[in-house]
Amino acid sequence: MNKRWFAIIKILVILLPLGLGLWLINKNVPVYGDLVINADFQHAQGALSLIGPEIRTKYQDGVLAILESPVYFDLRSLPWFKAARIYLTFKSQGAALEGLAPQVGPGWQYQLIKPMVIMDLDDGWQKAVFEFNLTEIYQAKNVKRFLISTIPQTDGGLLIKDLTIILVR
Amino acid sequence: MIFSRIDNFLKPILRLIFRVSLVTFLFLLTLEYVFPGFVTNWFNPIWILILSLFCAIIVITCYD
Repeated sequence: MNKRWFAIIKILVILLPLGLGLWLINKNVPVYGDLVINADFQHAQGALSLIGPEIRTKYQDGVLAILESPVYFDLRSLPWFKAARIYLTFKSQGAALEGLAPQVGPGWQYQLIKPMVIMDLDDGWQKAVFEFNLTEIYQAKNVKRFLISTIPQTDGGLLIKDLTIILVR
Repeated sequence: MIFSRIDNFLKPILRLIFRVSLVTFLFLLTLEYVFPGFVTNWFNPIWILILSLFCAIIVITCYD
């Protein structure tokens, strides 16, 4: 009886890391070629940092307000992802979206990219779509930094409801 | 009587978990070194090392 149980537990203990490995491969090398990362404005994720610095942002009811420009986020992507599409759902409340600026060199070297297209959604919300070639972006180890740049117009900021990054192989 | 039976059963299991989790951790460490973010983008592998050390400490202090 003991021997049988031991054999079953042995198989389970050996199968667990194999399952973990398969899960990791499935996560990192998606079958259909796209990896979708949704930003969580309250918790840092492994692949995507919080939008910082904290002093320039304010989180309330699922919406992040950018009070002062620029703010940044870091993306940790694996080398086989060559391009990234970034979808930013925003609403102007005293500041307009200027664009996203990936870091292109060490130090303060950022290249401002305007959105490819801006779609109008309900209640004044808009969705901007950006496309980046990840091979041209500077990275410290595997961290790529992006700035979100806004243009202040009146007192207020830019509200962000959603930030989705789709990595493409 | 019952405790010795549990001991005989538990000791090899703890040894097995220690070995498997240590090898898994070392493998993930190598993978993370080659492709930074492969493992740590999804979870923290230090928990596997803690599990393996936990099993090793129990085996050493309770059974040897």
